[in-house]
Order: sequence, then structure tokens, then C-alpha cells
Amino acid sequence: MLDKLYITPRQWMHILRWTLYALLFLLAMMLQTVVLGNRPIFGIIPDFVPIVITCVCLREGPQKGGWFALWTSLLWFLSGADYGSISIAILTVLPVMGSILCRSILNNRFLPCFLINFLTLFFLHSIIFLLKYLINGMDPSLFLSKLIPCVLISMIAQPIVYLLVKKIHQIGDDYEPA
Amino acid sequence: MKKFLNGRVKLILLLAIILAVATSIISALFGVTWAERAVQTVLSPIRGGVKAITRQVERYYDYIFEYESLEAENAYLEERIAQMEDDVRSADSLQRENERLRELLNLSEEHVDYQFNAAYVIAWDSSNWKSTFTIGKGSSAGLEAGMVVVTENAQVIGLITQVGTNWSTVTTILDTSLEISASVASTGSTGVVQGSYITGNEGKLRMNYLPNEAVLRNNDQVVTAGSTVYPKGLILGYIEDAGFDETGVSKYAILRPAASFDDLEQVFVITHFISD
Repeated sequence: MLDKLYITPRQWMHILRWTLYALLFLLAMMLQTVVLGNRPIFGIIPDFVPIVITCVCLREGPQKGGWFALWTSLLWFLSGADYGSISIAILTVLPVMGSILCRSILNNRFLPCFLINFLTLFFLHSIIFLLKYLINGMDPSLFLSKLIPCVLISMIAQPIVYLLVKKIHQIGDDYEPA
Repeated sequence: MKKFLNGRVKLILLLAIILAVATSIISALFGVTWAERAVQTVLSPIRGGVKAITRQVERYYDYIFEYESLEAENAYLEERIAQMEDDVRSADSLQRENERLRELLNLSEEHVDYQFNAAYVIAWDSSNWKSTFTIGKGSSAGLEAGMVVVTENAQVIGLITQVGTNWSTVTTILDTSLEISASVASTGSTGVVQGSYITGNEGKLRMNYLPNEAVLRNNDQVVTAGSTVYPKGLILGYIEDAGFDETGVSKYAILRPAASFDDLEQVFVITHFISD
């Protein structure tokens, strides 16, 4: 019975790794909603959460990363984000598909990750914008004046998130089987 | 590619789509779900803590980097105060007008039925398409959805739209979803005020359905007309621009909100009032 409760050093490292990923997600969420929520950069509120979700998913692969994307996007929706429930599907499907694409055709280096991050963010915001346009009659000119700058400004954080995720992923490498 | 798109990954993708559909149906039918309440109740103290740290860091930043500019501002303000004291002494007529305006604005004296509950802003909505924020008080402090939120000067900020145990979401008057019956204080012309998403008018309000013959002047004050939700006479904003709407039948006005949303820290919820 007690044997089953024993946690190996490798398992400890995995727990630490995923805890750090969760903290990174929480940090992005707090930065976005608490710190920068009322201090737009050039009139734009940046969107860091999809970048964290996509970076972790690309690094951890479609399976483990997919679970992370699914739970964090659900949590992001439940925390009151204005993206609607469609964000759960978009923020899971796109990073998972991106991860498959990276592993089968491209690679996990910076540029493919940057490109997939950009596409995820752009697609997510475009879908939300389209829904706002169809339902609330949003001014179409805001696509250029708000949406594009939002995606571009948010992407500034991508290299930092990419590096952090890469470092976190290296935790426990010593214990990985050869 | 097929190697990676295995059964478990397909399950994740399927679950994501099912969850998206299910949550949208549940939200449409029941509004805020227990899961949303639970997540926001857990996040509320974290947000409050992060907000407190942010405020402390800002104070240190201001102290370190803005000391010189504050010193210069202080000298300028001292000069201004001396000048204004002189103005006040000599301008009796302005003082009388000031008294009248004070009477108009002093709602707490006029409306003894108002009961306020102070709360701090702990988080802002992260979207560029919506204007809401979260305050650190909820149903445990007696707050309910539909209560009006104002500044200490009785300037309307918004309406509570969601309530949890220790948090509430306030939708601001800048959001397009809120529509408020309002009147121009000087002429009594009535209309409907709502947020504006038109390019160039972000952060402004639009007053629609004003009568054709309404006289609208720049800086005219616009106040709430009074309803079961909004008490009468709360300040919404000041007229900046006006014209005929798309139909040509009625007029509209663009308003500068009276409340400053950029440095909002503490707000006051009107928990009780007697409607006319």
C-alpha cells in the first residue's frame, strides 16, 4: 500500500514541471487581467494566455500538451474571459494541430513555434471578431485598428514565453529513460 | 502525421468541441454557472493579492522615478492655488453659480435614501471588445446583480451584471450592452445613452433618440432620467458633439463620460435607493 504512495524522483520532476506550467499560465492570466487590464499598451489590451497555451502544447506534444490546452482554455473561459465558449475549442484544436504539424513536418524550433502562435492568436481573434460583427454589429474598421495591433503587440511576449517553456521542459531531463 | 493523431489526441479534440458546445448551451440557458462561480471565487483573492502588489509596486515606481516631476508639479500647483484663492475672493457671481451646481451635484444630501457599499477594483476584462471589471465584493457583502456602481462624486460607472460570493462583475457604461434612459440637465431632453465602438469614439458614450427639436450645447451635462435600476440625477457625461442620426428623424450626441475609467481604484455600489 505504502509502496504505491512512493513518488520517484522522476515523478517529482514531472510534478514540478507541470506546476511551473500552471504557474506560468496563472501569471499570464493575472498580467493580462489585473496588471494590464486597465493599462492598455497603445490603446490595446494584449492577449498572453493563448501564447502560453500554444507554447506549452507545442513543446509537450499533442497528447500531454493537448490535455493542458483543454483544461487551461476551459479555466480561462470559466474565469470570465470575453471570448465565449468557442475559445475552448479553438485554444485546444489549433495548438494540438500545430503540435502535430511541428512534429511531423516542421520542427520545434523558434520560427515554426512563432508562426503557429501567430496563426492561433490571429484565428482566435478573427473568429471572436466575426461573431461580434455578426451579433453586435461591431464596426468592421476595428479589424485593422484593434485586432491586428492586438495580435502584433501580444506576439512581443512570444519569445519570452517560448524560452521559459523551453527551460521548464528541460526539468527532469536527467531522469528521462535513454 | 497519422502517428501523432492517435486515439487519445482525437479524444482531446472531441472533448474540446463537446465542452465548447455544452458550455455555450448552459451559459445561454442558465447564465453564470456554478463552475464559473467556483473558478471566480477561487481567483478573486488571488486577483486581490496581485492587485495589492501592483499598487505597491506602482507607489514605489512613482516615488523613485517621478519624484522630480512631482516636485515640479507641486510647485506649479502651489502657484495655481494662490491664483485660485485670489479668483475665489473676487468672483462672487461664480461662487453663487458654484453653489447652485453644488446643490445639483450633492446627491448624498438630496437623496438620503441612498446606501453605498465601497469596493476595490481587482481585475479588468482582458478583451478589447468589452468593458467590464471585477470588484472584490459580492453577495456576502449584500451586492446583487442590477445594482448601480458610481464614483464618490456620484458619476455613473456601470451596473453589476454578475455576482459571486466574494466578487462581482461590473459592466461599465462604455460597454455597448448597457442602455440607460438619460436626460440633458439644462433642457430636459431625454434619450438613451450607450457605449460607442465607432472608430475614433472609443471611450465615449452615444446618446440616441433625442427629439428633433432638442437644443444640445457642448459641455451640457447628461444625467440619468431615473428608473427602477438607475436613480434619477446621476451624472453620465458631458456633450462633446451632436448631430442628426442615420434616419434624420432624431438627434444624437457624443458624450465624454463624467467618470474617469483610467485611474479607477475604488468604486461605490448603490445598494438601496427609493425610485421616484
